[in-house]
Amino acid sequence: MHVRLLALAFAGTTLVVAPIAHAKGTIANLPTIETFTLANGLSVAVLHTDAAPVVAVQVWYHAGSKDEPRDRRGSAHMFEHMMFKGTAHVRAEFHAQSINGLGGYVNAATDEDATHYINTLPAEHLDYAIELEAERMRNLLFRKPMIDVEREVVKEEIRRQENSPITKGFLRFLGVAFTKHPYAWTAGGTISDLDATTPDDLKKFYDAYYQPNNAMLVVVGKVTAAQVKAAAEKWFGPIPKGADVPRPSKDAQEPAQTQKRKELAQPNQIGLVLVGFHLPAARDPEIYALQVASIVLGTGDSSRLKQRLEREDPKTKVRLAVQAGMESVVREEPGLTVALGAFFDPAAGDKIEAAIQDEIEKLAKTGPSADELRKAKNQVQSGFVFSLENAQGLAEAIGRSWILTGNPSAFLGDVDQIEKVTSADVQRVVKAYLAPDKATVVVIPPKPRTP
Amino acid sequence: MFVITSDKLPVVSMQLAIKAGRIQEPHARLGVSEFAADLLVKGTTRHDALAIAKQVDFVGGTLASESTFEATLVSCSVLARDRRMCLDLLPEIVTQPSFPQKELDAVRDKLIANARQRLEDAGVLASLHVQNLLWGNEHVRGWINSERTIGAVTRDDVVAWHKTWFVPANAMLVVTGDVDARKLKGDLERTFGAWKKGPVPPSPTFQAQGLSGSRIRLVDKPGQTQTHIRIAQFGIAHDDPRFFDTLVWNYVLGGGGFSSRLMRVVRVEGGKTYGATSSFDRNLDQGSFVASTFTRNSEAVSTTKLVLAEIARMAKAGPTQDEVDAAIANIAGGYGLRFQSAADLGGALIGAELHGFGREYLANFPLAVGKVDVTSAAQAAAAILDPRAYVIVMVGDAKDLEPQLKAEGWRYEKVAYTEPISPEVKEVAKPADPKAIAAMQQLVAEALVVKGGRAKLEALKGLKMSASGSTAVQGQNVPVEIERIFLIPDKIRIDATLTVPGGQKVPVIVSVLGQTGWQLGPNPKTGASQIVDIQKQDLGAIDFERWREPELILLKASAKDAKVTPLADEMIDGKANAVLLLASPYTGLDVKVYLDRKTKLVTRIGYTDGPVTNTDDFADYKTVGDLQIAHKRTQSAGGRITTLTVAKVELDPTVPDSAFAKPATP
Repeated sequence: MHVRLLALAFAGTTLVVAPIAHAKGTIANLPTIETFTLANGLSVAVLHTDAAPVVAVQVWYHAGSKDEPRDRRGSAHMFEHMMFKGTAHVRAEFHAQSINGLGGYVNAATDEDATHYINTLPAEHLDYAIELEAERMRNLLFRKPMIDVEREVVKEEIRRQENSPITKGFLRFLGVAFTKHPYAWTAGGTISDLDATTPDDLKKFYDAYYQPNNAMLVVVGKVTAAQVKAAAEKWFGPIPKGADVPRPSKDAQEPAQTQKRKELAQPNQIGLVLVGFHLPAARDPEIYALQVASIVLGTGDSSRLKQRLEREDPKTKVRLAVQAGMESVVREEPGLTVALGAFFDPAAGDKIEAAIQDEIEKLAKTGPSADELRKAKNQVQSGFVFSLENAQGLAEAIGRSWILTGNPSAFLGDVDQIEKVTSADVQRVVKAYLAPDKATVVVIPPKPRTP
Repeated sequence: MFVITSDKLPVVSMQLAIKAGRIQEPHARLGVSEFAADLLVKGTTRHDALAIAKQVDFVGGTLASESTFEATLVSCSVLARDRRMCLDLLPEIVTQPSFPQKELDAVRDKLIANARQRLEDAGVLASLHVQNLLWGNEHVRGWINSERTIGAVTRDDVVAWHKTWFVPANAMLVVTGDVDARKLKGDLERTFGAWKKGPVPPSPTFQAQGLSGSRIRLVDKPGQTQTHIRIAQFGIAHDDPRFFDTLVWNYVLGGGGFSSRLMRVVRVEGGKTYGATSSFDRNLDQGSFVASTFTRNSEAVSTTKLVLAEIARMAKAGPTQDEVDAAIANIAGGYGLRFQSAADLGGALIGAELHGFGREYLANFPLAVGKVDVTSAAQAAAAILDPRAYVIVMVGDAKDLEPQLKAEGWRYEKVAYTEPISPEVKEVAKPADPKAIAAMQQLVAEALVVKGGRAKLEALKGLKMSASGSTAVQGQNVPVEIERIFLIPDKIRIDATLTVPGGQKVPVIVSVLGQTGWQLGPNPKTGASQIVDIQKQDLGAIDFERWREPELILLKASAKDAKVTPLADEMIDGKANAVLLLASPYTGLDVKVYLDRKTKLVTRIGYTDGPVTNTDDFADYKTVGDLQIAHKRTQSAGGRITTLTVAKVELDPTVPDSAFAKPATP
């Protein structure tokens, strides 16, 4: 249920644990990612793989919900929808239908930092997929009737979240954790802001962010860099470079937290405690030790929090939580790491919070054991190798890496960086970042039960 | 056992399937397969849960087990350098689990948490309710777990379940990735060698109750601002010859994402929802066909009507040539995209083997899809989708939904979202309320008077009726002319002439005289006309046909010893109908009779024979002699529809016995 609860909590947005890791030739042979930039500023990354005759063609726009005006929450997401609604030369829905017609798969996703467009299709159609993506980069039409219909579609997506107490509780948690930074809201958006959004607002957003100098074309699959370069020059090349891109979040950095925050959310069938801490940004080297800390505490059935909370306490004979765990949400700007426990007994919430704090304190005091450290590193290595199986997943890792660090190949070095983490590093970052006075706690109480 | 080797990446995956899932669970032990699957990784005779978790976590592997409708799937994935972990641990958890009580209690809490949490998820509730409404409470597909059923499963149940089903002959294994096939054999002999052989017990079988007309269930979830909608009918089995046709028409209807009609009509044009899909089960037995969507409460009924209209349009006209081409291009063309890793292929192979298809199924899949054409897809859609018999579930706030349903004249049953979805097993069916039985008997008596009266019907010696209309033959509607003679009590002759495409007329005759009978029709192989005797075992069915004669059914229903059970009212063509269940002398063949509440005429007679539902609808009543006789008749037998307009009715015709005798030559 841990996964299920989290999936619910993050419904409609993308939950990203920082792209994990790379391994030396001893684990897997990894071809290099080739990158180049067109004259108009479009970045291109190509990774040749030949496991299957498939190509993943993705365009990553560096535009997420943190770039939205505060009274237009949901614009980035609305945009993701509008990108399928027709351009100067392609009628509405045709992009998806024609890729489907080639046996391909089409989708898109919006999160706090980026919006990306996904095409996975037989490798011989590379050129066509790039042509379609180039077309909608600058030729989108803003037709009011279409915007009005699509607004209703997005509102249904939001309504689905509003009917989920866990998602509502999680959104509340973000609002408490971020007092100033736009990570306080997710890409989901709000109905009132969407109703206020005009075609002009959307056009403004499009002109600001949907520009070649704010995007990366990522191609992974059975294609060569030369083929990709030719197609990119042909279709994206003629698009002129856009203006410099506004970053409203730069003026809205979250002030350092100096005392614990705790709030109660609306009840849910099952109680849930969320205990979160601010992380540094993805580019900060401390992020690796923090990731190891998060794994030691809450990844895998043998992790500390699962053992402490999901198993019967030998002394009290009480099992505090139905499910427990920890997730790190590493973002371009400082994100969050969250420990959580699900429970039945209304009195268990505070005890779970205390137990989580206790486990963090223990880790700060003595650090992980040699076994635990090795285990965490092995988990990162293995996760990385399995992520290489699939072209679409690899393209996501490259695009995400570019958004988070500015370097599409950065994720390939993550396994090495993780490998260098020592027990003392973990101790140091836990003390610095997971201190009790930096905690944000939100308790979603269980609904009272009638016998 | 299958081995797929690939050294592209240094990874190894093992996937083991045990043919034991929800379908084998005893009704009183609902959930036992889920308990067993979840507990496999929670302790063996050699390692406790923590020791297993540590081994798996230490190499960053995954070891997982889940129960599905028809199997328990156990899988293990690791880096190749750690392959020993999977080779040792997967056999150990499958063959030597210890099912510790403490772990069972923890698993029970998780399952209870899931059962409670789904109360917050209207979409999940809708999906569960629609299965229950479609399949009823006597079919495994209609049984939905609850906190009580989860609480009832004991360790003994789990141990017995494992002992019964987890035997080598009931399992299959696929190993994929960077492995040496020869070495692997020795390894597996060592690790699986001690697995005790045992017989595989037969799986239980179930008969669908069948549907006649539509049923709507409103699940009231106060405060919900969005209504989740499911529309379901019976689907097909995986080995049904129309499987690939169905893959194609369903892609066009609602399986094809933005390329589907439902998505276009409900989302793209209507803006009513984020998603609208349709799907059908891929199981050994007949599963369900379900269309799903959700929308704001105020649009719930209008959205349901849009979906129903699309289903009806697909049933009537099938997909277009362009749509079929696009569907085939996606399904067959994208087939390779699904198998990017060796483990993907392994999973697909297990799926094919579970259904007895063999490994060539995967290779032939794109070709089989490619063979589908407009005609075969349309025929399959027409035969499988019944625009008149379906169930609808809406989960939303009743205060917003009831006015819409009432305005539409749709009858519905209402339940609270917190109620268990299927009744407790031990609960004995409540005897019908004596008052309700008396009221139904009164209604039958009144209907008998409207029909023409007991005396007239009892005096009736026979009927001769001629009619014309159309009937479905191999999915196509063809014109038909029918003359039907029924001499009470036991002589029947039906002469039908079908006009097949091309204009050729095909005669079909069925004639029964007492306990013998014959029929004339085209030889299924040569097409030439032939006469065959009706076999003795088929005469039972004809006895039942004579018993349920529509003109006399009210006599049967008003007889002193008639067993009549009143059922909930149903709507037919927007009119309220009283429904009664009339017990017949034939086992398993009870008849539902529908009486229009206003006119008190019989509007429908239905019965279910195994998986097949048969209904006869009656309309356009006219006076013949002193009797009311329906002149519009629609027969639906297992989805095959015949519509007839009666031209002439003769009461008490004079027909010699010779008319029923078998002719010498066709």
